[in-house]
Amino acid sequence: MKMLLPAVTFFLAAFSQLDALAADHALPHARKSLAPFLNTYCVSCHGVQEQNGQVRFDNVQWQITNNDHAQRWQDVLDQLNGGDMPPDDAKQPSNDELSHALDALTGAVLEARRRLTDHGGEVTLRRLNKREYSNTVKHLFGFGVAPDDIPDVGEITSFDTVGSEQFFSSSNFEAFLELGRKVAVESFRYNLSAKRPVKTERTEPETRRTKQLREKLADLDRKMALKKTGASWKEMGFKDEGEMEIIFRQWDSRAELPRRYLQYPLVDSGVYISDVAKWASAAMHTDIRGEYIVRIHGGINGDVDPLRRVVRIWDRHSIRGTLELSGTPATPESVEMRAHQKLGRSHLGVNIRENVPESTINSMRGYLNKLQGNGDQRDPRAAVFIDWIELEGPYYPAGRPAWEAILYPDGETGKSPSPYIWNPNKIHELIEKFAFEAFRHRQPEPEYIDGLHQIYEQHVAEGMNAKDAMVEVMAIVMASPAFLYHHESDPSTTPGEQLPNRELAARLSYYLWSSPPDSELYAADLGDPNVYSAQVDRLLADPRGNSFREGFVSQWAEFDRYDAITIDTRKLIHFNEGLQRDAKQEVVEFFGALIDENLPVSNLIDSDFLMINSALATHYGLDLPNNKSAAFQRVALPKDSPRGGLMTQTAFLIMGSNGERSSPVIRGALVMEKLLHDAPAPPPPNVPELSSASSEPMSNRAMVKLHQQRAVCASCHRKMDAIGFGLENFDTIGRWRDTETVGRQEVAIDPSGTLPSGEAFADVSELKQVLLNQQDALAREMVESLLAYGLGRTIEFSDGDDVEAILKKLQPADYPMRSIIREVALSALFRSK
Amino acid sequence: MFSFVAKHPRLWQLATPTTSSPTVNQFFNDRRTRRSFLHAGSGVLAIPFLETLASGEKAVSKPPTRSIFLGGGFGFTKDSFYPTQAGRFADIGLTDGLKPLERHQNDITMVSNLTNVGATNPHGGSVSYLTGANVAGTPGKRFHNSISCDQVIAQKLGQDTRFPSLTLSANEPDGGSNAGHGPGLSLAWDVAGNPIPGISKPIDLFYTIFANPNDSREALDARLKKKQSILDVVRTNGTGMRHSLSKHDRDKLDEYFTGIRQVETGLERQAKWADTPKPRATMDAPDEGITGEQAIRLMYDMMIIALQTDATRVITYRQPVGSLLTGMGINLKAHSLSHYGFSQPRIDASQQRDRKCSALFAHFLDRLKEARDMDGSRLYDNCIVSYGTNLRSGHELKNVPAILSGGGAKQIPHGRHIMLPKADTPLANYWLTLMQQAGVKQNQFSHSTGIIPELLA
Repeated sequence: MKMLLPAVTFFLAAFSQLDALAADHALPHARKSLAPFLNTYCVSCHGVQEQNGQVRFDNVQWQITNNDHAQRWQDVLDQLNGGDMPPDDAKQPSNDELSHALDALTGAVLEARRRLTDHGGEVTLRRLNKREYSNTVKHLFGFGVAPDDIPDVGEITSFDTVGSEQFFSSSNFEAFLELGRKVAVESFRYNLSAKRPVKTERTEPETRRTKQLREKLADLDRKMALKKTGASWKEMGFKDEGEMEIIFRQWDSRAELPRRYLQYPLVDSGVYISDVAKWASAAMHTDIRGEYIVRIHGGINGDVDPLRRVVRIWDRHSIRGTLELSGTPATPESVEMRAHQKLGRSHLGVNIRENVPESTINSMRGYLNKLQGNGDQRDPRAAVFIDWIELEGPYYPAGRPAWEAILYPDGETGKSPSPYIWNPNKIHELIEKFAFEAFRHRQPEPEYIDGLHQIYEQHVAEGMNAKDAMVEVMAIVMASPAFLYHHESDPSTTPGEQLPNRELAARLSYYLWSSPPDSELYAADLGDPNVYSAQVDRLLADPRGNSFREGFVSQWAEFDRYDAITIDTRKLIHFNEGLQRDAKQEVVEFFGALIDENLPVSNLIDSDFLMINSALATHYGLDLPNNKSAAFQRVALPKDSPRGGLMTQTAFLIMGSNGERSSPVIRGALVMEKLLHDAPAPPPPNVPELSSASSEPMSNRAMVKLHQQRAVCASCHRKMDAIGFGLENFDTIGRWRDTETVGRQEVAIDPSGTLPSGEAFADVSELKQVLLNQQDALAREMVESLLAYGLGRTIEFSDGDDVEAILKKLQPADYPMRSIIREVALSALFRSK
Repeated sequence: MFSFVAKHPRLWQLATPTTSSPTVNQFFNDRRTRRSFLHAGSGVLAIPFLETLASGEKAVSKPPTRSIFLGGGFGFTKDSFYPTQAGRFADIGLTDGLKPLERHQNDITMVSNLTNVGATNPHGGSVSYLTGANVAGTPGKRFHNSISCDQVIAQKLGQDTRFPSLTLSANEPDGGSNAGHGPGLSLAWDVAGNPIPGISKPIDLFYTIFANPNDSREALDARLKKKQSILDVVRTNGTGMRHSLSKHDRDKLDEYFTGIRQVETGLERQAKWADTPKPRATMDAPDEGITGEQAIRLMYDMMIIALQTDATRVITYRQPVGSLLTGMGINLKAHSLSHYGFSQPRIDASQQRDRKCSALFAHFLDRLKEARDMDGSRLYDNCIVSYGTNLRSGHELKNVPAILSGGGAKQIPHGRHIMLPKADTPLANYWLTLMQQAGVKQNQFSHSTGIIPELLA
C-alpha cells in the first residue's frame, strides 16, 4: 500500500484555523456522500483506535484551504481509484457506493484545485504570440511571417494569449534579433518599390509532359524492335544488362501505360492526372505584399466517383486547399483560389493533383480498385484533366504598410521622393518614427533612440551602407521589450479604472484582429461608450477578424490534438491530406458563420446548415452548388439530416478517435468539455489503457462498456460514454454508418444512451435535443473562453460575477455568437486592467 | 543561472561589421552543401581517442564524474518491456523490449516502483521528470516548475568546464505533448523554474563543441562589443518600460532581462575560455535537416566528445520521438502509437520502437565503453547514465521506467532489476541518490524522502 504523506495530525488538526475563505473551499457535496463512506469503510483502520499510515478520517474537516490539503485528498482519491483501499481483507463497498464516493471526491478536488490557482484576476504581461508577431510585421511591412519561422513561446495549454504560460529565454532573444534582421532585409526588397501591375502567367503543363512521354515511348519502342532482331543490350543503348532486364520486365507500366495515356483525346492540350502524370505545376515570382489568384482550367474525364472530381493544391510548405473541377476535357472550365506568400517565400509554386491519399504516390491502382471496383482495368483510368494553370497578381490590399507611410509621407511608395532615404540628418527621426509605430504608439525613451542612432552611426563609420545599418537598427527594435510585449501600465495607481486609450485600443485590436490598431482606432476616443461600441462593431466587421476566428477556434477546439492523429489512409481510403485540412477549415468557417449571422451559440450543438466545400460535400454525401472557387459555402441541411453542429463535423469526430476506430469515450469527453462546460477530471495516473478482456471481437459499444464494470471507471465514464454512444453512427473519419464490422460480421450500431441525469436518447438527433437543454452551460463555456483569450489570462472563481453579468445580458436572445464576442469587449473586465 | 545556448556562427558573421553586408540569399538559401558523413542505417563513426584535454591547463589524473540524463517521451509497451521479476539479468533474462541491451546486461540496473509524486500530466514525460515538481500545485499559478537535478549538479560541479551543462533537445514536429514530452524545451529547468532551451540540431551541437574560425580572440572581442551595445540599448527600453509596470508584470519582464543577461553570461564565459582552444572537429559538420535515429546517433557521438574533452560534465538530452518513428517507417504519430490499446499492428509498432530505443541506448553504452578518458580508463567508468521518462505505458504516470548504467556511480553495482519494496517510492529519491553519487553534497532534492539504499547494495 502506498503511504500517505506523513502528517501525524492529518485531517484532524490541519484545519484548526478556518479563515474567511474556508466556506468557498469546502466540500459540502462531497461530504454528503463521502462521510458515510469513510465511516463505513475507512475509520476502522484510520480512526480513533488506529491511525494506519498516520491517516485518520474520524474527525475530518471538510475544507480544502491549500494545495497540501488538496494533495492529501488527491492521495485518498488515488488509493480508491487504484483499488488499493480498502484492502482486500476488509469490508468492501459495493460498486455503486464506491462510484458515488469517487464521483463526489473527484469533483471536489478538481474544483478545489481551480479555486486554489485563482490569482485574483491579474493579467500577466504577455508577449506577442506567433500569430500576433506575424500580423504586427504585416501591419508594418505588408507581409506576414510563417509560424514555423517564429521563435516558440513554449507550449501553451490554454490560449496563446495567456502571458503566464509564456516564457522568454536567451535563445528567444537571439532568435528574435535574427528574425527581425530577416524581416528588415525583406522590407527593403519591397517597401521601397511602387506597386507592380497585375500580371497573368499561364502554364500549359502538357508542353513538357506529353512531349517527354512521346519521346520516351518512341525510344522504348525502338529498343523493343531491336530486341526482336536479337540485338545486344549495348546495341539497344542500355547502360547494362540489368537495366535492360528491368525495363523489359516492367514493360507494361513503362511503355503500355504511357501508350494508352497518349491515346486519350486532347493530350496535346492538357494533362490527365494519373500514374503517368502524377501532378501538374506552375510557379511565379511574387510581390509578397500582394495576393495572387491560382486559376485552374480543366475538367473531369468520364463519369467518376464524386471523390475524384476534387483536386488538391499544395506547395513545398503546406497544402493550400482543394477545389472541385467542373467541365470535361473537351469543355474545360476554370476554378480558382487565392494565395498569399510570406516572408522569404516570394516564389509561388503550386502543384495540383487528384485529391488522393499520399500513400498512393507510387501507384493509384490499389486505391482505385478499392474505390470503384476492379471492373475497369484499363489504366490509367484518369479522372482529372488539367488544361492550363494561371497565376495572376499581385492584388494589393487597401491602404499601405505603416513603414511605407513613414518612408514616403508625401506620396505613393517608390514614386515620390522620400525625405529620409538616406539623409543623415533625418535618420534619428526615422528611427524614432519606426520605433513609435513598432511599439504600438508608445513613445520610445529618448536615450533608447539615441542608443539606436549611435549603433547606426557606428555601422556607417565602419563602412556599412545606410540601408544595411538601418536593417541592424530595425532588428534591434523588433527584439526590444516594447515591441515583443504588450505594454499595459500599472493599474494600482488608478484601480478599477479603464485602460488608457492607447492600451485599450491595442487590447481591443489584438483581441479582434490579432493585429495592432489602425490609425482610426488609435485616434478614436474610446472613453466615450458610444465611440467604443462603434469601434467594436467596426473591428468585428473587418476582414482582419479572420485571424481571430482562426486563432481562437483552432485553440478552443484543440486542433493540435487533431493534428496528432494518424489516419491509416490505406484502410480508410476516403480520407486524404486535402480533406484533413478542409475538415479543420470547416470548424473555423462554421464558427465564422455564427459570427457573421450572429446565430445563437446553441448552433454548436445543432444547426440547420453546414459550412463546407466540395471535398466535404462529397464526404458528407451532400450536394454543393459549385461556385468555382475554394471558398466554403453555406449549405442548408435536409430536415432529417443527422448532421449539424460541431459534434458531427469531421474534425471533431476524428479527434474523438484513435485513428483506427471511433472512441465514444473521447467523443463524450470532448462534448462535455467543449459544449457542456463540464470537463471531466483527467484520468487517474495509474489506470491502464482499456484493453480487450476477451479475445472475442467486440463492438465498440461493448468494449467501452467494460469501463463501467469497474466502479473507479464508472464514476466518470457513465456520462462520457453515453454521449459518445450517441455519436457511434459516425465512423472514425466522420462518415455515416449504420453498422460496424465486428470480427467478420456487420453488426447494427446501437446509438442509444441514458445520461446520469436520466435523460435518454435513441440516436444522435435526440442526443442533440437533450444537450440543447444545457445551452446555458455552452454559453458559459464560450464566454469564459473568449474572456480568457481576450484578456490573456485564465478565468477564475473571482471572475464569477462579471461572467454572470455578461451571460445575463445575452440570455434573452439565446446567446448570439457575435453578441458574445461583443459583450466580452464591452465588459468592465475587458476595459480595465 | 546560466544556461548554454547554441550560437550559430552564421549569426555572428552577420553581426560582424567586417563581413560584407548580407544579401537576401544568404538569409534564405544558405544551403551550403555539406557532405553528410552519416548515411541512413550506417552509424559508424570513429570516436577520436584524444590524448590531451582541450583545457590543456593541467593534466588531471583522476577523471571527474559525469552525469548524463536521457529522456524518451512516451513510455514503453506494458506487457513486453518491463521485467516482472527482481534479480540479476543474467538469471532472470531480458524482456523482449530490453533484449538489445543483452551485451550490457551486467552493466545496467533497472529500478521499479518509482513514481514522480507531483506529476499529473499524462503527456508530460519530460516536464517534471528531472524536477519532481507538482507543476500545477503552486497557489495562484497554473504552471510552475522547479530546478531540475542536472542543473543542481551543474551548479555544484560544472564551474570548471567550458559549459556548466549541455542541454540537448529535438524539434518535435507535432509539439512536445504529442511526443510524450509535454510542455518545456528540454529536460532542464532553471532555478526559477523556467524551461532551458535545448540545442535541437546536431549541426548546432557541432558548432558548439568544435573549434571554428569565429572562436579567435579578435573575432570574439568584436562580437562581444557589438552584442554588448545591442544589449545595452534594449535594456534601456526595458528599464523605461519597467517603471510603468505593476510588480507582477515586472516579474514577468524580468524573464526578458534574465534572457539577455544569459546572453551576456554566455559571451563572458566564451571570453573567459577564448584562449583555450576547442578541439578540432574530428568529423564533418552534419547536415542541417538530420532527424530521428541519425540525429540521436550524432548527438550521442558528439556528447561523448564533449565529455572526453571535458567541455562539460553534465548533459541532458530530450530525445526525438516523432522523427524516430518516421525514420523507422512507422507511419503513426507518437501519440497515436502510445494508445496502442489492443490493436495488434500498433502493439507491434510499439514493441519495435521499444527495441529501437534499447538498441540506441546499447549503442551509446558501446560508445562510452570504447571511448578513452583522460587517464586512459574507459569513459564509461566515469559516467552516470540515466535513461527513462515519466510515463510508463500509455498515459500511466506511476512506476516509471528507470534504467541506469555507467561506472561513475562507484557505490552502485549493476546487472540487476531492483523492485523497490514500496510502491510509489519518490522518483526524487532516485535523483538524490544519483546526485550524491555524482559528488553533490546534498541530502534533499525536490520531494525526496531519502536516498534509495537498495541501489547501493
